Amino acid sequence: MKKNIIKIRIIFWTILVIIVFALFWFAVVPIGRVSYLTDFCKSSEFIGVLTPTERLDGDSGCVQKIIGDPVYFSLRTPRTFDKATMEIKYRTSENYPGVIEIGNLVDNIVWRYDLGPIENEAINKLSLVWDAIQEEEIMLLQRDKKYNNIQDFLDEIEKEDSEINIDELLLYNYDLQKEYILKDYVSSEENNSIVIPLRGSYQFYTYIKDEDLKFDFSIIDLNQNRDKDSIEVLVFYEDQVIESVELEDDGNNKDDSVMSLERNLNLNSVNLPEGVYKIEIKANNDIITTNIETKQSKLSFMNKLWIYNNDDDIENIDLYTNSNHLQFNTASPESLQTVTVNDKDIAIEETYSQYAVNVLRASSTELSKIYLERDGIIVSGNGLFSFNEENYFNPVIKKFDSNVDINNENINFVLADYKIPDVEGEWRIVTQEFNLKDSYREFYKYGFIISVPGLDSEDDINDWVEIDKIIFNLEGRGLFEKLKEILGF
Amino acid sequence: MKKIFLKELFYVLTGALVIFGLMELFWDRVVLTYININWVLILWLVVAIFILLQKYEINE
Repeated sequence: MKKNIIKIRIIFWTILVIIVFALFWFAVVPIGRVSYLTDFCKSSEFIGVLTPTERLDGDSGCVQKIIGDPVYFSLRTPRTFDKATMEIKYRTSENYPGVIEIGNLVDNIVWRYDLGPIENEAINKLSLVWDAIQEEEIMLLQRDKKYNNIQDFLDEIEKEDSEINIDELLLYNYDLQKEYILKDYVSSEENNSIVIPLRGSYQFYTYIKDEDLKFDFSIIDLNQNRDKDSIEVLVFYEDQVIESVELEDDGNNKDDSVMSLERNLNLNSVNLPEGVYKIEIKANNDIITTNIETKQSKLSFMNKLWIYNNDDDIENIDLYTNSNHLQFNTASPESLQTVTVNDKDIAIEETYSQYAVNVLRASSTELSKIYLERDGIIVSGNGLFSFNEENYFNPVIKKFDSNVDINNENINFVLADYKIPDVEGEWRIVTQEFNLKDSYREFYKYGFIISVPGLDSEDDINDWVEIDKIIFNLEGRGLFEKLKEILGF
Repeated sequence: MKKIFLKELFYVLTGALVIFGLMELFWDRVVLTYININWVLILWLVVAIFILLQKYEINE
């Protein structure tokens, strides 16, 4: 009898030990590799459903039908991983806007996603007409075939006396490291001030030669949100952070809208080589940069500027840009106004509405002038902005997007980190890699975005993108490697 | 034999509930991803009721 009790006891407790061991095995992933899959038929514990529901057609069965841009989903992992390879199976309506991109959340302060392409219909079509070379993930398109492989093309472009003019090249999802030198640049002794108040985060390029990189930012904190409002300024050279300075919160963690006193954040770097530097100001929307004081004479802001509506209204603001596509919106009724782009008037008549305009320029080097009657406007575009023409310079090789007119702008080459999707019946399959080391992870979740620019759930067009299946293959350190690291072997 | 079986099952289910609870406390969804603890709790209750019923029958 007693023997039987022991036998039963051993069997039951062994089963429990095996279950607990299995649960720990699944959570720790000791070999460092695991796959998670969802086909949207039933909810997955790891890959979340797409949100928000207003941008999805809810009655689509075992697929997720996207009808608005963008949508988000999360990947819940029990531990951290270094790399994710995602396979996505999807199809589109014939009239969909033509670009699908996917990205992982890398910064939760400025909500930046590291986007990569799933499909670009314009490149697919161009590859049928132009000469196309595909080498692994990299694609080179040539209007007239001049180079037999991508390395020959890259070698040629690296030459100082290259026969390829940089203005005839478009990049798509490709980071071409080409040294940019302003031949006639002379450092200035005069101070350059930008007194237009800028809200939240922004980025700009500057150029130095035989001078210090010196910026003084004047900062105030609106204290409209409860979060800590620290500010970080990062300096990038050749895509690497070379310096950073930080200003702590003003000490008021309340959302009482009590504006802080003006504080200064100084950036001063010496003995830097000649070249282009990117400066990123990372801050939330409580932070206003009231003044930027610098010795640098070249200053081109990237993509978006939120001009804050100060108590002492600033009127008659001029901006210069190379953007082909511009968008304006405002959150404050007193900032409703008529914006002029070159000679075209755009009436901003409603708050929280997006007003877009396509700009026609005679040549790709010509700048457009934007005139704002007063402050309080968010200006965004697919190019660079400057507050005066002398400050403007463009160190960026043009990017391939739907607003580029390839024929008008004399484009002869397209270099892309892109592969045309594999086709399986009416479905297409794409594999995309993500670096999870730099990803933002909260509550065991990585954030992802699927962007289909131009897909609007509120328009009358019946266009959509349907996702059938998402598979994540994750790779990270195994338990053995982790133990080796801890023990110092 | 049946009584022993139920008793041992009760003990191991009690142990499972405590272990799973502690695991969840320190590592979010480590158990719930694969096992619904509600069902373990229901099974534990059913086994407990059977044991009590058996005890009642013996006393009768």
